[in-house]
Amino acid sequence: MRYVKILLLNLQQVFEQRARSFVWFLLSLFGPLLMVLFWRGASTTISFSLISSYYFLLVIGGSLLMSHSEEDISLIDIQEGHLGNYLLKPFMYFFAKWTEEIPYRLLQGSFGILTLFIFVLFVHINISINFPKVLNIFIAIFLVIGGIILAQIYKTCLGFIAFWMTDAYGVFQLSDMLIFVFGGYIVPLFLFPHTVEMISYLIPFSYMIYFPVAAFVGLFNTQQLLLILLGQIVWISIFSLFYKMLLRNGLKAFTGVGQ
Amino acid sequence: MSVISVKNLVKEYTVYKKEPGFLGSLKSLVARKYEKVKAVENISFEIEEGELIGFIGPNGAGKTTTLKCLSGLLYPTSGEVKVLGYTPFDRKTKFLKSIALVMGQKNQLWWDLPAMETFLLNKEIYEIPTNKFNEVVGDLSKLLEVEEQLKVQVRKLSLGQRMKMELIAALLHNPKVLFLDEPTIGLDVVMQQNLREFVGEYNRKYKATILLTSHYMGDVEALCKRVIIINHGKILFDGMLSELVKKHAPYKVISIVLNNMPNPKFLEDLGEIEKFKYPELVIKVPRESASEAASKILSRLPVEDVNIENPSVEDIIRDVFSAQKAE
Repeated sequence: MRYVKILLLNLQQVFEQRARSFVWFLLSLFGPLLMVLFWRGASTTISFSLISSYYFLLVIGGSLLMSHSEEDISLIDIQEGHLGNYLLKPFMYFFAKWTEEIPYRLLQGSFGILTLFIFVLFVHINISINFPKVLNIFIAIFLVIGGIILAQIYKTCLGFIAFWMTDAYGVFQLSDMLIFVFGGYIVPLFLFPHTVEMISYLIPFSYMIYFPVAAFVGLFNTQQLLLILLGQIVWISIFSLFYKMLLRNGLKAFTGVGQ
Repeated sequence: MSVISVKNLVKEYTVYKKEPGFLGSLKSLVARKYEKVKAVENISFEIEEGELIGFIGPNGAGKTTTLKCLSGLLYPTSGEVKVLGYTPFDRKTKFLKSIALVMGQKNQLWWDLPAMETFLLNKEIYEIPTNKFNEVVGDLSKLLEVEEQLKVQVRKLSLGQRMKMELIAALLHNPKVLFLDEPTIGLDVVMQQNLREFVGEYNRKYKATILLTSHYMGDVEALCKRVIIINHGKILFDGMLSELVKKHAPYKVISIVLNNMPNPKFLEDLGEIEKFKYPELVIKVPRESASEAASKILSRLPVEDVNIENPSVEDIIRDVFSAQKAE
């Protein structure tokens, strides 16, 4: 209940910045829309319905799942010293940042769902969500939750780089690039050459957005979905350990600005 | 048992130093020069429950670093720090629920929402029961005269009102130990006075231990019996404010407004002339002979006005720093 109340209070703050949130959403919408247009004109054996479903769900998935906490953590919290406000409170830093981030995700995810409805109703885009078994629905929901957790832990760890680097912006851009490629923003990962596809399944980026979205489109059977869920749990565990290690050592280097 | 105990605290920072100019930038691409700076150098002190202590020093003296070490924000390079029996850097929940750090230059309030929303957030974070929360917010907002502003967007508040809201946000959980870092910075004299009264009242009412840093000696004089003076990371004085005056100012200041130009020789015999711009004259005389000097002045000089006073704390502290520099 305590966490829900904190989340609701943070939601109020996000509502005050709804215009900014909408513009951010629009920016994330253009890439996938462009890809849908591209595929519409492309001659391919893959059905357009599958491709449009994939990209529209990617818009919702990207808005709902992908945290952008790293800049706040590095620039405002660590370099400007606002981390002190969090450290002085009896509330875990990770949850504090997460309860600040989730309202943005919920708001932008809602914009994504609204956009999907607009396109289905007025542009008559055919969206197919495919679950051959009921169990797959539950696994897909768990993959969404896992994706949110993994993205948040990963981005928090990324932000912690600022404990040691004055300018971490280059690292953030490199990370965005990797997420763009291996998170399935360009094309669904099964369209990559086999080796690249295999590599993308071994690194964490595909577990943040691609797999949860692909699960809803119906690209995997139950056995594959369970394996993906296992991979996601492994990555969450690995990044949780990283989080602890980075925070413990980072705080020893933290100067809190102004001596 | 002391509420705060600091033994041989040292805090070092690594600072990157760059030679000026383009060549310096090129050099720093290949080999960066880092230097260790000691912000706090082997300081020790103890503070008892309910004490309100002034922590004084110029910019960069190490005041804020010490407060940050005491509140668990910074990890000490060496030494031992205990606050309420806890090691601050462990940041145990019970410890965090017993302390607060208010920094005049930092804020925790949500900018786009009324301060009340931040208070509600802190209520959940500190797990404050609703009855107690309502009582504390009611009491503190009344005491600080900001009841009408509780529902106003923070960005619309004046600096003074914001500082008061910051204080309420920091005190909601009724901390036993309060670290105040320049709480009156940027405030006008009326607002400074209000905040001083409030801090004094909080200290008396809740027997809270308060460590206050301020550049305004008025804050320290009005609130603190004991002061700790720090400069270049070292403690120069730790004791009662009255002792500081006695030890570092063995003189009184006599300010005179003259009617006629006096004999310079006579003035020199009285004491050290600090300022003489006819008709105003300021002389420093030894504390024990102040009344004798005053009577001499009144009997031998044509004066319009005479005033005998202790030197200001600000002057005394300036003398302490100058003496350290000379060493």
